[in-house]
Amino acid sequence: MYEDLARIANHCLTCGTCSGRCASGGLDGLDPRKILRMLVYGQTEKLASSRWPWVCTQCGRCVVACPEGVDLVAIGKALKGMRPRNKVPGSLHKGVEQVLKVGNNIGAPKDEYLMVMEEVGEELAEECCPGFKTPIDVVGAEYLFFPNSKELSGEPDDMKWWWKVFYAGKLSWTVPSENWESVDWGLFTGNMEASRKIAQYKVDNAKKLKVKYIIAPDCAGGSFGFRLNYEQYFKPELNAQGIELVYIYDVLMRLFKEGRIKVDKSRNPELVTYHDPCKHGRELERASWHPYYDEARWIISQCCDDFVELASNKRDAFCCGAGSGAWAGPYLDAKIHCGRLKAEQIKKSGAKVVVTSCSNCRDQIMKVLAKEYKLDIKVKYIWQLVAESLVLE
Amino acid sequence: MNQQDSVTGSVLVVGGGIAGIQAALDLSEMGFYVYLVEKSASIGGKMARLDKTFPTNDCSLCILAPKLVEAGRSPNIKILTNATLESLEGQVGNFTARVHREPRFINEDLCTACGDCTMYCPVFVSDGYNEGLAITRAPHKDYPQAVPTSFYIDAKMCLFLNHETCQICVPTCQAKAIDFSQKEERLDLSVGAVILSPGFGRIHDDVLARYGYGRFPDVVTSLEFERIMCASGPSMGEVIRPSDGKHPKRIAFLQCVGSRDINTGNGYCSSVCCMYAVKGATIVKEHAPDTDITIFYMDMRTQGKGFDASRQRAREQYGIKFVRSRVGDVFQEGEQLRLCYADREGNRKEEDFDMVVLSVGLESPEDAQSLARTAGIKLNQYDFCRTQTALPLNTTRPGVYVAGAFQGPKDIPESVMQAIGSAALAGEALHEARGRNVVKKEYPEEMEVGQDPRIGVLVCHCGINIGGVVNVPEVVKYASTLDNVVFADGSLYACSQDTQNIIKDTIREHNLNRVIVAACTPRTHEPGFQETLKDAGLNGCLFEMANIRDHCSWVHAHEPAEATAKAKDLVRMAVAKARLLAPLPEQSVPVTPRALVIGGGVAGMTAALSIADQGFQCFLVEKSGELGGNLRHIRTILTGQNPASMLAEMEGRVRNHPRIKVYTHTVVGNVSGYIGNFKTDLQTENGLEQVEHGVVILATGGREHHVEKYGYGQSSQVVTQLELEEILSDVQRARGINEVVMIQCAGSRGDDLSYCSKICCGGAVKNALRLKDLNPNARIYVLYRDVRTYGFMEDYYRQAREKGVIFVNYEKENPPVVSADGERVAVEFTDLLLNEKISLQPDLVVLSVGVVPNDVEALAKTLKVPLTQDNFFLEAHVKLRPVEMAVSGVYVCGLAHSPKPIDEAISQAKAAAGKACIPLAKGFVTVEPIVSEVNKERCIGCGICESLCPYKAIRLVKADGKKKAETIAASCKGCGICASHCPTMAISMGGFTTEEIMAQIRAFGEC
Repeated sequence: MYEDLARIANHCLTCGTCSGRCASGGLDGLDPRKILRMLVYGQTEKLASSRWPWVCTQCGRCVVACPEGVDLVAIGKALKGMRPRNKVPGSLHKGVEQVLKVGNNIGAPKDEYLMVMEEVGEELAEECCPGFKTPIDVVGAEYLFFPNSKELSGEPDDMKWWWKVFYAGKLSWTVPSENWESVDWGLFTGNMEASRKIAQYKVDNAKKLKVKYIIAPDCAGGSFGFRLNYEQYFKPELNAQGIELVYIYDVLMRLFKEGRIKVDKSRNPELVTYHDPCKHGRELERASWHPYYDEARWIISQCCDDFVELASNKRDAFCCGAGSGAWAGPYLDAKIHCGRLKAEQIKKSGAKVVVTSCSNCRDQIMKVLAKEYKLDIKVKYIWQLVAESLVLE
Repeated sequence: MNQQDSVTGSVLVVGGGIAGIQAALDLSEMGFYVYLVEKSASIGGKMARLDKTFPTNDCSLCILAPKLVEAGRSPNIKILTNATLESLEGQVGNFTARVHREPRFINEDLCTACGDCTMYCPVFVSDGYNEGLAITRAPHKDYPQAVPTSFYIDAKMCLFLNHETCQICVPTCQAKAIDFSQKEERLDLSVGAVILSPGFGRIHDDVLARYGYGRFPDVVTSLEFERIMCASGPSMGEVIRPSDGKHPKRIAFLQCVGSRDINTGNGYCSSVCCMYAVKGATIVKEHAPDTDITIFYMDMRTQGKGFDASRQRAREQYGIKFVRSRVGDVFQEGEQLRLCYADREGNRKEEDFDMVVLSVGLESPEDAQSLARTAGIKLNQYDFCRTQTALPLNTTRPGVYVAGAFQGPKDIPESVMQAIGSAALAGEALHEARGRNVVKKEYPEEMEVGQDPRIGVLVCHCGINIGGVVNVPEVVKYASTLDNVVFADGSLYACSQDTQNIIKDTIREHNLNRVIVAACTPRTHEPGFQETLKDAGLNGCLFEMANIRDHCSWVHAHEPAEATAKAKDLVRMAVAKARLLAPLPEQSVPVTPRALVIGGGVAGMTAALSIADQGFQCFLVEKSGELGGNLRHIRTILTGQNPASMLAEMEGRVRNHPRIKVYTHTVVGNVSGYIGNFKTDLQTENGLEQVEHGVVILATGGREHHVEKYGYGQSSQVVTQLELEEILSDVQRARGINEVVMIQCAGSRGDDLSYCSKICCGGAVKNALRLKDLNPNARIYVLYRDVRTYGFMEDYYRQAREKGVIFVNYEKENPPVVSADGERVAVEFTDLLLNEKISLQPDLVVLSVGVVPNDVEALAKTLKVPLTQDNFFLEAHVKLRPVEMAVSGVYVCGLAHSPKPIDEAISQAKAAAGKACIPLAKGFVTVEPIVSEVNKERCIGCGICESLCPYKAIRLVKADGKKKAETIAASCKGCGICASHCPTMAISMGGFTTEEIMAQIRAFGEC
């Protein structure tokens, strides 16, 4: 493993492109080029025990510009994997243990989960969606949706935006009753074995419930971890059973294009911008998969007229500062540091609403960047923007 | 018909840039007919679009234009524009090339290039010549000096050709040259050989977009910047930003855009960008010294002859900043461009600039693949022409040769060398057919020149080059008031080809018998104008030039009134001289059709073989006992070929060639004579021998520089790269080497030697790879200042890194420290990126010591050829005459010229052979009539002139028992030293007689 890393690093021309583009650089006196240099000199262990792999958000912004294509993301992941599991920072590894044991990161028992889901559904029915009932384990539903444990435990109301959109579009969908966790902390801790098992849960659910589509699970990292395993291990088997992987953008665009949902643009008069989650865009592109740049913008354009791009966007977008598990990690100083360029670009854009489509990005921008950098903004999920604009008939 | 007769004495050249033009000109001089096929509407290529050329900062078009004119008027070069090669059947000696030609829709023979059609055309089109920074209209000419000189219609944009409306241009053309009935044609050309010189392509916009190009108007490409800097460009040489026309105060150059970047598909180095950035930055500084300029780079690859000195001047004299960092982001911040990059410590820096220049690389031509299919040749992995180290100018198809950037990214001198070299290869293949297809140029009989001078004065505005400072109409008006001036005009680009026709017509119409052109420098342009006079039936010596560009508009750029007054003075003086000009006969001297090649290394052997294969006798002189030179000590070659078999093959051919006589253990003594007629003393093992020959090729080579540092000589563990190569040939020993530290620039680049030796980086990479092959676990450190693996060598640098060779940058001020203590050698250096001291005790310290020329002072002295301060031979013109020496008939190649790798030495040797064969093939040389002439009656035989002549062009002979001086016309360069020192004023110079010069001086005081 050590040799493999040095071999990747050996390609480095020391041109500094990576460090010039990196938002994490400067933390603990390190930067991507130094990382490569240390690997070249065989200082791998020193690196594995440093904080760097956990504060580098593995956004891939360096890699796309590297003239030698040095994959610093792969290096970061590998360095994380070298850390003894009991030394993994914060609660990340505990989350992995939980999800493997009970099917979700927070260790919520099934009855508690079902109760919350049903209650939220009832509330939604009362608020605006008469007749709504949370679809749990609906065999033969078209779409399979995985809840994010973070929302279940802390912000259950946030789930309503999704559900409202599905309700309005008369979508056939379901959530599983077991092994329902959407996120993938296996990927975030460099534990690809766990990541595969987490993906296996989702695959098993899809097969059991005989769905047509798996909606790539939130957060964007969760979707990426699943995608990696899906492509590597599960795709032929699922496709043979008529099951495909789609992204939230695919679902929303379908509802719009088939005229199944209607929105009122006038509800969003403020200037909107979009934050590209790395793992819905650049990282997909890097893996030679379709990046969801234009789809996000198209969906936003259905909901509002006043849109501005951030100075760096799409393939060049800066990370929110808390990607690849850093959000769940313990290093607040790093989150503040790594998000500063994003915050600066948001501020310069003049946007009042920042739309994104990843729960980690949204939380980081809303709870850390807005506060630390005094941004006068609202942060919304893209499905939240749609939900809030919906004209329910 | 026997086999010989069937060989065709014509050559097809595909691509009309500088390489194609040079090849065509040399081929026609060698006695071959040339079809020059160019896909655009005019020849000149990229060089015509450059402002200045490095490292001398000559005006690019100024030095190119005479060649354009020469190619345009040569009866043995047929220029086919808008044309592409469609098929190539047959084999060497007998190809049939089908050429497809799109119509110009303007008849080349009728068009007078008046420009009326452009004026009336309603369709604006982007001006491609100006990189889209200006607009023109559908009928136009690419640039005023373009050849062919006729206009053409942009078929994609013309209203009539696309929508069958308009045709407004047709009636506006007085010459009735517009012809919409022209159709595409296909020509089947019989040629014996083909030279491919299609040049290079453009880096794709999506690559440029990464640096904001296309989004931010003040991010421009280097080619656009050339136009912006150029006096004939859209801003007339004023460096301004496209967005608001303001003068940028801070400019950044970004290197390696589209080069050394596997993401762009171009993993190679484009070789020329570092130098052109240094050039551009320097020129801006000359225009506007308060401009702040930063060049962001990875490695400054200024490895060519004199290039490092330019870079040093840029930094020290002009204060240009060099930052070793590849810029990560470019943002628009208000009116400025913000660059984000990492400094050496890895900190992300932000810096604002007014303008960003992308130093775009050289990509393979867009049509490389189709050209390769058509021509039946193979490409390399980057879609450049595939060649081999030993055969750098041969494609994979016999009889099809390559020159210029299509062979790999390269600068103008290298392209010119390859062009001459490829012409030599065609000459080798077709030498039996030499002269078979050419037309001999005939001049009309010279007119009698009466006593009464009738002088025509043509004042050139040269765009704004002259016209922007000097008031040209005023000078014209003034000229017409001078006695004997019967015609004066100032409306033309004097050097363009159509003007030559106008001059001819004017001579006839006004019965002129003296012509004055007030324009630029006679150094580059006089021969062309003299040719025009000859075409019109006037003796070439009835021509005079007044240099109102260099001497007026350039040096007095900020004093237009004074510059104009001075231009008038110069014209008046020229007129005064012209009144006295007399026709002088052109002399012709026969040539001994043999060559002397001095030096038996790769360059010398290559040159000798080429000359012999072109059909001429050759003496190859080597001072040591063996042929082969440095190649004898080289064990491996980076590209994998076996140097030993390369040498054996070459030596075998040399030894067995019936037209080569080899002298080993032989030293060249005194050389007397002149082009066509040299006599050289050879000190052979068997005594003195004198040989007679028409030309000399200097291939005297070079050797490893001897250093006394880094413990060399104190410890057997400190060796040179060449010594390491020897060690590595012992596989057993090599496998026992576990750690090596290589130190680059040990002695070069400002240490003992001022220059970069060009071959050491590639050499270190080669030996590192070899050692890694033998012992994959060996730890190899290469300590460098800039890794200069230019061109495709970059792939080997990449390979070396992949295999784990560690490259560590050091600065000149802080070199590695080697302590050699008997058996143990220790090296200490700092990794600048980690700021960590590293101490090693390697098995070997290997020094890349650089190259020095062999001792040639005595030879230079006897030949009277100049050396550089580093004792390399100094070529006649670094850009366009890279193998010729100032002394006619003497040529240079290989390490004697400058350090270079094998393939470049071979290209240059071919080029030297090509140039040398021109006089041999002609059988005579014509001598310019401006030579000195001794009045034997006045001469007192004192010998002062003989002792002072730098060209050995004067000798003392006995006449009637008295010593008298005599000029050897063929050797005389017309410098005038003899005339100026003659105590009895017995010597006068043709075209510069005492009377003429006195008249000029008197005229100066007349105003």
